Amino acid sequence: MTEQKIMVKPFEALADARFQKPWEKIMIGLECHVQLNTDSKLFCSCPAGKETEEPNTACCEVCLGMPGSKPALNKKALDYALKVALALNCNINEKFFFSRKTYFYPDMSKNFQITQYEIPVGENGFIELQGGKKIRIRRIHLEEDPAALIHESGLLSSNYCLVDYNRSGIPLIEVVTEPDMASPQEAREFLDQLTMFLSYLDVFDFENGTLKADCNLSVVGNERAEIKNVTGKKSVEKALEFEAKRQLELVKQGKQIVRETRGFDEKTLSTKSLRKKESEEDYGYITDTDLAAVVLSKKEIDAIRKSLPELHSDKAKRLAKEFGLSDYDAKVIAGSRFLSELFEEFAKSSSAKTANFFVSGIFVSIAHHDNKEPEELSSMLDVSQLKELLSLFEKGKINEKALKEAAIAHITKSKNPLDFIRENGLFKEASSGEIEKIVERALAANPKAVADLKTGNEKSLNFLVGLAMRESKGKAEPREIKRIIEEKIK
Amino acid sequence: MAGIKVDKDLLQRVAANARLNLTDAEIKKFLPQMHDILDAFSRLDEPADLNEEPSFQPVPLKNVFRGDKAGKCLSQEEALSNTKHSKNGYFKGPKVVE
Amino acid sequence: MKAQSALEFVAEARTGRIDLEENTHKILDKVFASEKYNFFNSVSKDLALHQAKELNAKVKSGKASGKLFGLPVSVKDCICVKGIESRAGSRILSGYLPVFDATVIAKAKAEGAIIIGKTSQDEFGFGTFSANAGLGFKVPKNPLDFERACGGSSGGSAGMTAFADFPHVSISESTGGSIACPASFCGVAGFTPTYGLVSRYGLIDYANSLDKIGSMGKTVSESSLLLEAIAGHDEKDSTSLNEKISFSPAKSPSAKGMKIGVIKEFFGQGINSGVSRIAWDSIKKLEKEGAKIREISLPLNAKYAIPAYYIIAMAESSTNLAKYCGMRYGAHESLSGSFNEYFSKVRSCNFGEEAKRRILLGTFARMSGFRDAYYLRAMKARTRLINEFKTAFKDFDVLVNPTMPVPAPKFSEIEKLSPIQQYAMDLCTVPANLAGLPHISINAGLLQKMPVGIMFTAGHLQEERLVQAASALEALK
Ligand SMILES: [Mg+2]
Ligand SMILES: [Zn+2]
Repeated sequence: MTEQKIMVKPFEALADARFQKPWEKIMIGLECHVQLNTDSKLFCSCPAGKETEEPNTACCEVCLGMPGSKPALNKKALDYALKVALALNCNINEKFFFSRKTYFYPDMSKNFQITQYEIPVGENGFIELQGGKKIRIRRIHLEEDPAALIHESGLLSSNYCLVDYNRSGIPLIEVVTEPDMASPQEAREFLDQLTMFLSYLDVFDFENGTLKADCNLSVVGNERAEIKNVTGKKSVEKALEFEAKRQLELVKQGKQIVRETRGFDEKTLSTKSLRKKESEEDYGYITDTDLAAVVLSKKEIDAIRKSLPELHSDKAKRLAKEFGLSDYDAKVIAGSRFLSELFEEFAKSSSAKTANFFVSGIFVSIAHHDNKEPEELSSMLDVSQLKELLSLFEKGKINEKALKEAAIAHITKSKNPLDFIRENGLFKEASSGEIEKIVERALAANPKAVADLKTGNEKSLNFLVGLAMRESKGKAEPREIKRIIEEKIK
Repeated sequence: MAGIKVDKDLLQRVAANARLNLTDAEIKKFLPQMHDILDAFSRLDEPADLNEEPSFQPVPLKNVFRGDKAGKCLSQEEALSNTKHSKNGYFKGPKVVE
Repeated sequence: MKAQSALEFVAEARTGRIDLEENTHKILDKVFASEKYNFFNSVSKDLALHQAKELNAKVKSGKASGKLFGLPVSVKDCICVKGIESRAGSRILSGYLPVFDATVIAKAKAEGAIIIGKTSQDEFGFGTFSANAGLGFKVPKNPLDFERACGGSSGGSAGMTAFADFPHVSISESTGGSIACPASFCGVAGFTPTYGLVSRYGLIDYANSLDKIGSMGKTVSESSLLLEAIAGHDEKDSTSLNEKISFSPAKSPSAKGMKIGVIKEFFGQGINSGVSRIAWDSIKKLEKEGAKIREISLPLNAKYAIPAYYIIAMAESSTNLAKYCGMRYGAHESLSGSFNEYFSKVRSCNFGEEAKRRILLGTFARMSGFRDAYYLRAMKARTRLINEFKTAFKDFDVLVNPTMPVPAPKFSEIEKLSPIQQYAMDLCTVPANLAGLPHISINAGLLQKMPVGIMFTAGHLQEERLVQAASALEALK
């Protein structure tokens, strides 16, 4: 059952981290930039998230920073930031505003970024990991994304850069943690937990949205290095693993770790020095007076708090209780809003056991096999077709293997699963006669084994089952073959 | 702020931060002027009890929002119409490594 | 013969008795003939003639309407007009053709205005005399004395308004006094509204929390006509006020019963005595008409407004000017070197001297270690200064002072002033601007043949009171 293993990875890895000695000396803090799935950008009405289109076709005078243009705050982006801050246990500031962070770079349309500095949306929250450890969140603030840069002949050897402002102005929240994570695996689990919140709050587009992090890592008692702009949870974990080894090695050799900014190379899975940080860059923050302050009443904040949906930990408890799932399965399913909704939908027409088997056993493993979050496959599913498939399975008309194959064909090739079953002759009725014949042949050819079996020798049963399995070319299930053999020799 | 001495080093640090290359003649001109100007501004040190809320705008403003509705964009041609440096629909900028 | 007023012209144009194409041709000829005064950074001949043609067609089809129908309107260079080079008087914006109209331009066009060109100014509005023209720009000359300045920073607007012997108004802009000052020096009416009454969308920023688009005309009624046409809420400017106010001048304006406060500090030290006298003469005339005149002291504003204003203005402008780096619009250089080298090159050879000075001062005031002492303190001081005004407006309908401490100076005199001496010239105009209060400057008389302006200030959104006081005074002349 290799699928199961992939599925449990975050939890397993966590357990590892607890007992791996060297990691104990490490401190990791993350600055996570999460793209919010709004229809329009943070300060203008250009569509957000069209960066796959032609360059510079989703921009206007505002996100191009043209003289005379002015920002206007997207209410939904603000609401999303408030939801996340509340779900992550932050204190919400009743009054906050936006600031200009001035720095010159070709991806900055105005050479300043509109962000929050003095007073963010929320402060002092936390995320609790599975084992109960709390990772403190220093602040959550709203800001605009810069443009995308392309370096045609590589970052180092290009003489110029190409700039696509389609990304410019896309709303981001920045979640800044305290340096509370003690291993790359903990950092990964933090991000897994964070994305669960995002999924439940429905503020992140798992198919097109990006999650990036600036990763700060230090060996206790030494200077820290910052790995800038690492995209995706897996890369964050890999970057931190490399960086932890690098720094621990240096410390072991008695060498000094320098304060610096590093970059992560996806191909070699290694980090490289970008620039030393002798002094902090001076961003010269001032208030952006083109925008009005946001002032919230306690009542309004409470109303948003009350409007939060059932989040994953509550949901896991409810699923375990309501559907009799094991705590483990309940957590896996509740780990994603999408999965849990899928489960509850299937559980309407099938038994909880079947729904659970399909969602956490089959569907999750298909997603992991393709290296995807379950959410990313959501648009591939036709739930009503899958419901019919599950009902066939539950009525015993198809076996587990057929169920799995039909599901794969449905998800990866948009194949109607029932057509798939039909076209491939996977109905049990059609095949069980065949299997019976195979079993009969196997029994006839091995009288000794049959005799041994009759005296209760389990080994010979396994031998006969194996033989029939081989003959059926894997079409049959061991359980079914066993049942037929037992029937025949009764 | 009174007593802040703007010396050549500080002036050049500020200029670098603002991406301005100053000529020697400019430095010679700006240095005493900045000193005079900041000295005159230091009058603002006087009110010892200045603990009012800052007025980021002269009139009270709060909670000005836009609905999340996607609208029309510029065409690529319009977006690029004011630049002299472009390639294949992209703006062309200077290289990002020193 | 008395020149036709803008209001009379619009009324007549709507009847179709004026051929607008012909009239616009005539006016453009006069504009070109005024070239030696440098009122314009660019003349939008094609646009103006195109608009005139369209308006003529509207007359023919019986659809002639609009508060500014057929009226020639000049526009300060810092306000974006779609397709017309808009440079805010700076070489760093060479060739910038906005892809959109500023909201005020869209409104003016919708009211039938004919846009004749972009008026000259101090680079980005950085000046009191329009003498800080950007590299390669010419300084506007006072139409009453070629040796003297028009005032700044809306110098071209004021110069053209005074010069024009035809109906014309100008869309101008004030950050710290840039409408009132040139209006005073050129002897025209300059109307600066409450901060936020007119949308800033499309205004090339100087300082976002201070900039106000306003109007100029030969008279109070002309300037109010234009201001009313361009005012109003705009969703695209988040600081735009959602208030509807009207301020059309009364048919028979009177100051009777108005409570007018004379700001003591602006009649004393640092103010030319001739200027003080002329302003007092006007105040006496209003008193005779039944206005209640009393002195009021604004010690905090007199002392702290200039430093607070300049710190805020420079800090904000240094961030606004960061975007100019030779990538997306304006001046470009050949693309070479790292981004730091390239940006520094473009900026160093295209910003003028005063722009550089203010970028340096503004960047300094924002730097960590200095930000709290300068920028934040200035923002707190602003609260105190606004409160001082609010207290005053409990007792008075409007406040009054000479607009500028002197009449228009000669260029040879300006050259001798240090930057800090120049900043000090804004003594009387900066407080109202820092507090976002509406104010109007009109001519009060002449001192050695040069105009002297008098300025009325009212509480937020009390534009109507300004119109009342200023028209009453105008009627007495
Ligand atoms: Mg950030
Ligand atoms: Zn946009």
